[in-house]
Amino acid sequence: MLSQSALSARAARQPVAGQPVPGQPVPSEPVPSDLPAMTESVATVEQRYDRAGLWVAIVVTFGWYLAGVAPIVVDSWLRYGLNASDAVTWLLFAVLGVVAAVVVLRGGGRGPALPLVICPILLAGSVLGSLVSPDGVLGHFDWPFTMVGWFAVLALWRRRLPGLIAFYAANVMASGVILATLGEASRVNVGRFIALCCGISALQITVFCGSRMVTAMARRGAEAADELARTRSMNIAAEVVQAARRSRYETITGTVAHLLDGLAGGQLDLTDRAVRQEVAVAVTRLRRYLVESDEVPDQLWHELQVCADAAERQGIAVDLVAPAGLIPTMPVDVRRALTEPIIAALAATATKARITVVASPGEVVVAILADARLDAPPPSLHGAVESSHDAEGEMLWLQARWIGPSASPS
Amino acid sequence: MASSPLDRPIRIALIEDTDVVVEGVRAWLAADPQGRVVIVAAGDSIEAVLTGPGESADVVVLDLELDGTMVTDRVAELSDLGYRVVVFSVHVKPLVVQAVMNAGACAFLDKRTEREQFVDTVVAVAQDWPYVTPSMAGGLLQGVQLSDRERQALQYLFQGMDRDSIARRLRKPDGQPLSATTVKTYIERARAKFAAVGRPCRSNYALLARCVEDGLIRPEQVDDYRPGTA
Repeated sequence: MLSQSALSARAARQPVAGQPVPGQPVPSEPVPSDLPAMTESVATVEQRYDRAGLWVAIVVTFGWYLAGVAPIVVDSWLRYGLNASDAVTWLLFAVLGVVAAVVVLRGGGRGPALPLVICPILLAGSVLGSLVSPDGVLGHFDWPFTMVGWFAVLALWRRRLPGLIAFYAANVMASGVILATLGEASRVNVGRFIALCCGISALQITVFCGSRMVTAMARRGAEAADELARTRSMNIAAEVVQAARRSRYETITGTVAHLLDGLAGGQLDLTDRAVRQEVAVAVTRLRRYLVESDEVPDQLWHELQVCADAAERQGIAVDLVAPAGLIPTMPVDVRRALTEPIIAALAATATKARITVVASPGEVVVAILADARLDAPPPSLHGAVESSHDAEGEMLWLQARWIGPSASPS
Repeated sequence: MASSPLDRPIRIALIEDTDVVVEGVRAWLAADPQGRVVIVAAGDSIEAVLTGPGESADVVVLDLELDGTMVTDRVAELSDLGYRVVVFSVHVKPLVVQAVMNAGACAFLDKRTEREQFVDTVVAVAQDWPYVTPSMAGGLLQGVQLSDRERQALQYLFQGMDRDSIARRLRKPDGQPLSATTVKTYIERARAKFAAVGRPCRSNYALLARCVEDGLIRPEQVDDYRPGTA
């Protein structure tokens, strides 16, 4: 006899429907009604917020480049001609900005390649801009010095903050050296230079760091929601497992407890044919319960094999014929309704039985032909399963037929 | 080879690698009161049996597994040579049965069959009767388009009922049971339909011709039926 713990362990392996006592209505499989809604994955949330921050940086960069810088370049061109206008630098920066934006939008730029290609060109452009600016360093036309920081934000978007700060430091130092070298480091210019340095880096660093912070907060929120959903799922699963265990235990108790009590108390006599049949039914039913949750391709056939095996252990020659047709997938209560009459017939069989299955997508017919004496076959356990039987001499023919929802009964 | 034996014992060639089965079949045939069937050759390989006296056998009884090797693919070859093949095997899965029937076998016998059914099957096959065993019923159920009655009759046969029991369960619209002869007609018609869609071998042509002559099926039901070849 199996212990409760062994049965529970088996039940825990796969939470399944409650196990009803044959003859009683079969409860439907427990479906938790308060399953948590699907939560967005943490990575998806993080990616979404990161892209939002990136788009802000792109829009600001190109918006300013077109609205703020482009008129300066045109003005310079008109005043001083093409060679002194920085138009080529403007075009080069635009191309570099587009390349950087496309790469980081596609998730790239995590390695050093993108910054190593773009940042030196930006710095060179900044230095060149300061040197050729018609109105000198920090003048109206020295726009590259103030603009390269935004393009650096794009190129270094996937890199750490120190990289961006290092770029700003290099840009500031280069311009500072030029300022000093050209003898324009007057007190006023140095003051302007310091104010300009703060002005051109603070906003970019704010966008860069702000986006990181918002993304991190979103990630933590998503992680918390994910953890909550996981906890709720585990709770619900644990409740389902517990219900399945309890139901299975109650079913098995209902199947065998009264027999064990009767045998132990001496009220049941094993020499009585009816008692022996009842015991045989209980034993076979128990064996079927134990395999109902097995993960096999053809569960009905698997359960019939177990029933046949149980009968053969009692000395009955069982001819379980390979099924004609492919057996469709059926719920456990339907399979139970199909096998229950077979179990009853096998328990009443004297020496030999032939079990057959004829299946089509919408119909399954399980039949037994045996030298059995069965006064009253069990009633059908399922509304979609009809059973019929006939006796001819010593031979009993019994059939259980399931009509699927898609098939019309003939 | 494969003439129509009626006034003499039917000669069978038994291809079987298990001595005890060969001896069992000999005992069965000896126990038949009318002595309807005799073994003219027996052995454990197709070549050995059919190159000797077995070549003139009316029916070849073939075990599907010889020395551990499945010879399912040889059924078509034997059918094409004009032999009436009865497969005698433990491999009774309906799909296996269907495959060998499609390959032109005339009948399929489960090795767990009883003596009388073995002899009856061989006699029916030797005379090109559309005989159907319970094992074959499982294969036929999946093979062709059947009427409800034909399908029902085959299903009961597959379940193990005899024709009288099937007739009792298949009732007419007025509630009266069918006759066993009508049940036989349903089953034979199903067999003929299967032969019509199976391998166009000599034994199937003979069977189809017989069924058309007897009115079991109509010639137009057989797309490639050619009476002259029967």
